[in-house]
Amino acid sequence: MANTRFETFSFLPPMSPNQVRMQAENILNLGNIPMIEFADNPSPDETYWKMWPIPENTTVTSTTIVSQIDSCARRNPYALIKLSGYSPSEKMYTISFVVKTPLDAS
Amino acid sequence: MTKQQTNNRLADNLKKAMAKANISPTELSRQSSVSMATLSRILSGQVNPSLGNMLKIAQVLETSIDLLADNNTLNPVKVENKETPVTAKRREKKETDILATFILDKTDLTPKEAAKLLENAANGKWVDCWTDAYVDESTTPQPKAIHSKQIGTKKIRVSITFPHDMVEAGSVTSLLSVISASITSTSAKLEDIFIPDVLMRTFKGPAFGIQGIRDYTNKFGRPLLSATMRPMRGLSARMYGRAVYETLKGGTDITCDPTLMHSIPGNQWRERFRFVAEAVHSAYDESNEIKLHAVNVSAPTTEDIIERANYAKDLGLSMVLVDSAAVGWSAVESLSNWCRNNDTILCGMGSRALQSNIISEHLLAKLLRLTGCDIVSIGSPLRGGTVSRRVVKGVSQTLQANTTTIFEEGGLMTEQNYQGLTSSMPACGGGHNPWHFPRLIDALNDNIIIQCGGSVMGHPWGSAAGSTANRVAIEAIIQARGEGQNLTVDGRSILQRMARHNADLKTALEYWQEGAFLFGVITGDGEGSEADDLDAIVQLSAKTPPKLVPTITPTEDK
Repeated sequence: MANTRFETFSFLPPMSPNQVRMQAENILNLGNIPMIEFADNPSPDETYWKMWPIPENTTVTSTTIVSQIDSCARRNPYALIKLSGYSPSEKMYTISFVVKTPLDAS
Repeated sequence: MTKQQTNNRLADNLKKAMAKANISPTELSRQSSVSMATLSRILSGQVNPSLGNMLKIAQVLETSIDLLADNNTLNPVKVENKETPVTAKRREKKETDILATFILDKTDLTPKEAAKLLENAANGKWVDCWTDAYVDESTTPQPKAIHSKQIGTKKIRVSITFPHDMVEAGSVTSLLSVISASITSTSAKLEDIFIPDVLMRTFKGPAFGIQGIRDYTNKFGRPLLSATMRPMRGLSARMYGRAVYETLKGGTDITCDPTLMHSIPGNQWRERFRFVAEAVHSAYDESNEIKLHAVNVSAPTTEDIIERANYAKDLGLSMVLVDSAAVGWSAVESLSNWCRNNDTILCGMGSRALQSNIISEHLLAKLLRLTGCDIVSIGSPLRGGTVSRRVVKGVSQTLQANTTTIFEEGGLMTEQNYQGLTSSMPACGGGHNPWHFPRLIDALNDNIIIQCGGSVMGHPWGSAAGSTANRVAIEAIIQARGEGQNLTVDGRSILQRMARHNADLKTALEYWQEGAFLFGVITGDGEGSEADDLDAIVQLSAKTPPKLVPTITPTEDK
């Protein structure tokens, strides 16, 4: 079985869609740049997961992020999907956690 | 001309110069620090004055010593720049000066005497030497006291500037050596050092820092969880490795050797390193996370330290720990350079108490950041009252910020610009359990390492369950904060809600008390066999009344 636990929030119960939306909103409120990544059965050594684009031409809201996570999950049903917020001023991610795992897929 | 005539001529010239400068003999004596008795003897022509005294007097009168001694011309002495007092001109800090702040406690000196004492000690010069005449003071500035203030009963704060070129570039050892010269023969405590930009740029700082540790370990957006292994002695190396494995597997990010565990019979360092490396690699495979163990490489000599660090690296361990106060500054700098070249994270930990009487806590942290410790242990903001919280905040600012402002309650006496020096990660230590995490994260924010060896190893179901309980508590708090909850207000309910989902956390919350801070606290009621043993060694004198110890009654949390 694929390992579905990965770093931050991996010890918590699976997040509800509403909880994901609130976290996405927090990333935007802090002025951080949201980023969606996905990988099938990743090892902890894999620094770079594949990136799922968030369209830049419109204003990014939490709804945009959630809908992009959903479309990423539809195209990659067996992947772990990670949402991160990058802070340009601190020059590092201020948050990064897995929002969807293969087990969550209904 | 006889000697007596020369002296009389000198006295005449001096009197004229004083009249010109409009200065009384008392004032001249005060400013030039030539004693009144000596000055009156000079003025009455009774003595042949020393060169040093005349130089001092000439400096106060702003005239040349040649004019005072001139026996041919009776020209009036030229006085220039009379508006600016000499003292004010001498006592100011240049932009490139190092500024050290000292605190003298329980002293009988006046602020002025204290300033003079420390300044002389800094110069290392108690008498006037003939070699002084060969030193050009305009190009060779000396340490000067610039500020001295009574800040309490028998308590004086003195600031002394040091020219930056007295200190060797990039050397904390040299910095401390130069500055601690002032403490000679006084009971002063070093409170803060301002390091000018020219000198700051010569320090390398930590190789990884907060950003590097997070990027390397892939752990973002939450404080890291660390546990120190217990007990310190008595376990075999293999059993010790088992404890490390259990703890890491449960969800702890970092495990540490105790700082006082070096190499003891029954748990030699080579064996310990081997089994610990095995434990880390197994936990890594099992948990799908990068795990770290900081092996203690403190050793009798720097060569031994580097040898042990090399062995740890060969085993695939990527973190070493050193008892920074015990091994000394140069050893820490050597190891720091080694770590930079060998991609190893360096923890400078332990023995803060060894130096805390001489160097303040946040200054120790600043110096460890300069030497290049990626992780520095600090106190807990929850231990003690609000004072402790402010002090620990000052310490954590010193480690993390690029610029710090004056924050006297937190011990930061000067502003400091770190010129982009890599930040160190504070590891706040000792006695935490999950109940404390909301307040802790609220006080110090995300970029810390929470050390809670006690509540991890002391969990009733073992250290794997203890790790899970603590890890779940941290993540629940971070998630709730992201959802907009206030940690001070909702902290307890966040934990209690999450305890419904996790049995380990539920047990931990029932087992530990919110108020109990299990560090430096004597538990138990004093009855029982251990207390009986203590009775035999405690010797109370008949005159001393026994200490009143308040009975601690743990409150029930629901």
